[in-house]
Amino acid sequence: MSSALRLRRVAAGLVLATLALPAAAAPASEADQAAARAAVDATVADVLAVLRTEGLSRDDRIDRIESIAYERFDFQTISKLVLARNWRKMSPAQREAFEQEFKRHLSVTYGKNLDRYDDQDVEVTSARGESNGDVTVRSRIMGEGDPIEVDYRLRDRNGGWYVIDVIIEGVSLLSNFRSQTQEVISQEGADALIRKLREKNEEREAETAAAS
Amino acid sequence: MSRTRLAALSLALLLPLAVGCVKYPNHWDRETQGNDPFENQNRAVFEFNEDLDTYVLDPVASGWEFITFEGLRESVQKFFINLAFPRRFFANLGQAEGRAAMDELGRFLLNTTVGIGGLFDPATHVGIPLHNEDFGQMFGAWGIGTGPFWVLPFFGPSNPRDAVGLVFDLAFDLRTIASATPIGTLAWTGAIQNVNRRALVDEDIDLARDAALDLYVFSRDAYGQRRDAAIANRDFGADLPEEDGDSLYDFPDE
Repeated sequence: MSSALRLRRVAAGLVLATLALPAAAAPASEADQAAARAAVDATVADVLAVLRTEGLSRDDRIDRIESIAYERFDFQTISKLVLARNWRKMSPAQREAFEQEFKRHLSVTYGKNLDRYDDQDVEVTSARGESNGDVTVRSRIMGEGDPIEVDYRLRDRNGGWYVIDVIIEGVSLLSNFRSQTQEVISQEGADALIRKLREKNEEREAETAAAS
Repeated sequence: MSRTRLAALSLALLLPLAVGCVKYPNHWDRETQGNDPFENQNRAVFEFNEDLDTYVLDPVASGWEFITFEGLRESVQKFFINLAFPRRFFANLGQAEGRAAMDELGRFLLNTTVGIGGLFDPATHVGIPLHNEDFGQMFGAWGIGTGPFWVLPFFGPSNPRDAVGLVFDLAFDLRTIASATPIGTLAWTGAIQNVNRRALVDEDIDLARDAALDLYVFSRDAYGQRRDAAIANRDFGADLPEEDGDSLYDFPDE
């Protein structure tokens, strides 16, 4: 490649980068906020509809909620943000394995707790654009006691809005899992983390299978 | 101070993932997350608290759950919340939240009378909300830092600031104020309070144990975030500060 051509490519790259950067870092617009909120509204409605359907088997219920959640959560981004600086040090195979086991972990842990649903209602209250273009959608779970505040942070990916964090009463699950994975990786390494997750998942699944 | 009370309190503190649980008093600030120089000692105390729960508190609470109905357990909980009125009143005042302090006064008068000594909560039904402030939060609002993460035996996750706050919290409890022998009174009433509370949060504790990869770190982080949110009384999960060069939500693409 001639040096002139290389220079042109670099220049073109720089122009593209300056064009792309402000767009990526722009705060979410009103339209973005409305779109993210609509996504949460629809997902909440779908989940509540499944929870309120009478006569579903436990497994059916879990399967349906799982497929709704899988469509709305961006597990790839979540895994990446959970692993943070460790992501770069991990092989593609390790990343893939972590993502799979993490997804399964959330599914078995929270799936097991679906039985606790007791006719609570969910009210989506507001949306806020974040400085990096994400949108935080606030909601409130209304049950018998005090309402529980749940915020969803969503990110735009190819024109769709996907959940990248759930913040319950001010506690970000992303932050919580990041702290835990960092601890495990720094003490025992990434393979140990994946193994730990897998063992935990298998244990839970065995329990659930035994219970049903 | 009863051991069960302390242990139960510590457990209640590490359970922010509660679905359908009442809001319990909680203690912390995010600074502590990266500030755990005594991790080895903390982990040892944490294990001790866990064992205490497994072998003492949980079995007793299961027995209590068996002989009571949920409405009774909730009333017992409300009764103790009502007795902590002076703590909330002064911690609100100390943050210049006069309106909230007046709400608390109104709640106390109404719940103590119409609510039969605090067993019921008519105040919430007539629209006077609870403002669950404590002295640790008040110190935090004053800009006092947490100091390092600190797991207290029996009490659980804390830090020097919140531990001092806790002493004030207990001093400003009607059980302390009205009793000639406050330590003894706190001990036996605390035992009842915390067995009762443990029964109420049983499923939440199971969920936390299931969800955690490392329960100690889970608790440390959750305690930190929860205290942080309680101090800010924030309406939104705000952006978190940078840690080790990676902010929570931004990841440079390769």
